[in-house]
Amino acid sequence: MASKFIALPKSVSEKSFAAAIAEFRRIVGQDSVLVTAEQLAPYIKTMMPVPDADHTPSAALLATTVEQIQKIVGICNTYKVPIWMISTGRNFGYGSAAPAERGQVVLDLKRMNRILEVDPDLCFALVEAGVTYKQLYDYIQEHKYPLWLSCPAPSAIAGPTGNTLDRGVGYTPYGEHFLFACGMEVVLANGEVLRTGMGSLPKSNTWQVFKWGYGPYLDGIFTQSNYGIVTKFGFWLMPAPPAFKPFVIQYENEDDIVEIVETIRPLRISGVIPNAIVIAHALYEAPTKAKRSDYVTGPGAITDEAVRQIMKDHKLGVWNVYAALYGTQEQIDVNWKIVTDAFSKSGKAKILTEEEAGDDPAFQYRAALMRGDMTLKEFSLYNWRGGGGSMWFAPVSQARGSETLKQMAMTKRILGKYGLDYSGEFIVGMRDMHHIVDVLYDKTDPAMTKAAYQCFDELLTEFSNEGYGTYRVNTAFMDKVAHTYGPVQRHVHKTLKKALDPNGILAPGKSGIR
Amino acid sequence: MDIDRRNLMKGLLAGGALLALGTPAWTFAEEPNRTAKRCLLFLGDNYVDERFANGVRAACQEVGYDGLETRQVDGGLLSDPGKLVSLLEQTKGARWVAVMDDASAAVFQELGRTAGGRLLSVGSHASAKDDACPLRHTWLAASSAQGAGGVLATRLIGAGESFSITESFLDGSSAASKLTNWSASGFSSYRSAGSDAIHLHCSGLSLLEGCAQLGLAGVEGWTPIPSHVSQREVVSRQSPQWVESVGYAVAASALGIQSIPESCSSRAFVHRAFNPHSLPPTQRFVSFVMDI
Repeated sequence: MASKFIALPKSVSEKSFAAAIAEFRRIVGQDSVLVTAEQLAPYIKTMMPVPDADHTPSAALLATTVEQIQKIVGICNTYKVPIWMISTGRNFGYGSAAPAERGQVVLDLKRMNRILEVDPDLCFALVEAGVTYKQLYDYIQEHKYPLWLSCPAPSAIAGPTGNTLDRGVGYTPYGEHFLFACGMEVVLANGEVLRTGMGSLPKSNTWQVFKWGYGPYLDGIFTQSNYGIVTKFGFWLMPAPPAFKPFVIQYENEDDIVEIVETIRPLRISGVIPNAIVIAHALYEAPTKAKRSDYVTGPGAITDEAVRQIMKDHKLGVWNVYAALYGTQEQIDVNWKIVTDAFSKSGKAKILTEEEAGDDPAFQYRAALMRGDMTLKEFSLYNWRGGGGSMWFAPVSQARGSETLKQMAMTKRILGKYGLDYSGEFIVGMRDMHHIVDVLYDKTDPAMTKAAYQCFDELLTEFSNEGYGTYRVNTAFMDKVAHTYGPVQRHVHKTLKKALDPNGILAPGKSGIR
Repeated sequence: MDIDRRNLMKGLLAGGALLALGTPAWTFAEEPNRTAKRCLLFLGDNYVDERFANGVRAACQEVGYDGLETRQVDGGLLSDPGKLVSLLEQTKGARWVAVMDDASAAVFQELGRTAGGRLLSVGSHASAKDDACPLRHTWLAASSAQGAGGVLATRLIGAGESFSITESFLDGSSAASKLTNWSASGFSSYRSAGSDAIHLHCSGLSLLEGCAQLGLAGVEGWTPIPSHVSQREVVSRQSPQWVESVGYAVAASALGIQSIPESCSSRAFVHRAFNPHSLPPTQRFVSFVMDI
């Protein structure tokens, strides 16, 4: 007999699921419970090399209040229906809006999009989970607050809650987003509402200014996890600096990454360069200016010769270091001398200021990201090869030149084995580097899709064998990455899960936790 | 104007004439299954815009729909997604037929979802000079009733290029009461066993070769679909321009000109041309049909 639903949660009968749907409708309204294929299709398409059918939701719920969510988790507990929470669902190469497992119900918080508070003196914001960076950006502009945001690359359409909970990064001095998180409201699986840190104290006015509260610090367990549903999120905003000086430094050879990192590390740790510096490979920047097919056709990874030609045609270095100075003009002048002296020593670096870079599209979007402006230009990556396949490979490296060179060489070798290009960048953290590689492939090509899966699997295996952990991954590989961190951590994660969500209704499979 | 009501009637009335022109009569639905008051063509500032639009207009012309509106965002969606957001707000109730590059498509799908859009189909289309299969089309459709692959296959098969078309239907059960055994003209058709049935239509290559091209394992469990159902098919109105053919097929689906909805969870058409006319240049784009 044909089902009324396009998918069902694992181990839930159609009758039982239909009863749950009826109760969801009673709570959020008929129009806010999506079950038809046409309504759910926008939640399904992924960029991963696995069938979209593996990630098809059974329904989507559009909640608007905390009280609704409390009732929703009650229904989920009764019928053992799992839900997959999204704030905006724009994780793209990390998994899009589709749930980790077929049949999970998407709890879409996009309608919980109120900006609850922006304090221009203490420089913080408190927002509901569905607020986007663009909303907040417009709000700050309208109120003429001298505040800057720190956004990830899909700035305008992503949101601070989802990005921070997935431990995403931006490109300003506040770029390590979770470092600047301050206070969450969380609906637990039993329906209780927890406010972390100072938020638990009645009448407290320090929820968004003091992170730690009293007792064990809890905020961290609600990131990259499935222990609760974060409905409100507080975070700090950067005061707009009086002056801002973005720049790019180009290098010609891949081995120069050693010199770059060794030069940057002391500047970053000492705070001379305060922001999350990016060291982008030519193939990461080229898509803003060219298409792959302009240079190569046929199977196999792009050749070094073709990369050289791209660099020449589009005025790119093989490494392009984007950074900025922030502060008063006097501070910037002093720090600029320190930076230029440091990078000029070897004679390999080509330093370009904003004026010298002109209207270069790669520089323009990088400069926008470093001042927290809205831009979507990094999405040009998806046109490089085309075909809709993308997975972010994101191992962490020490901020040490020899390590970054080793990681780059390993990645390029493994990608090349499967005919895929190295489109990578390093984002410099406080003492680490997020090595970010967009594994781009053509999802219309079955052979390449299969190769992309095998390639990603091998990348994770080889890197973990070398002791390199991945900080974030798409939903198809969450179990594999969780496994690389060993049995003890997995056991602790599972123990917490059992304690906080005994029926396993919240996002089973997230970060490999069930 | 109600597209499905008025123009489907026109289409039905014109069916005989269209059959004479070569358009297969089976492409028209017996009953309208969707309603949209307004159809909008959205061009994402891609180099295929014009040819895709030609195909869309040809489909509109064939059903006598003269209300097609066209919108374009100069510079693409990455430059100013706000324009798209405004347009989505202004066109509530409209059915969008959209074409754009992969990067814009990633943004479009997200903003469409936020606007409460209902996605009927999304297709990824590629040509490559050097590939074993120069033309590839991959669709995700809400149901087989929204599938455009059948129409596209009949337009491409005589055009002299090898191609593959794969379609995944989210609601495979929707066509359960409809035709389950259909064989496309010019194709040998097969059905896989199991509840999530796959239909595979091969032309110019064997079942084994077709499976291999699509990355399907082995030929076990496939049964032939009899060809008698396809006797009425006449196909002669192919366009030599494959992008235009895609535009036509997508618009035909959006306007309710259907290929026969097969009862299966996915379907594929694979054709190998023995004397390819010319190798197409590398082109890629994404198509959408979405109700806003």
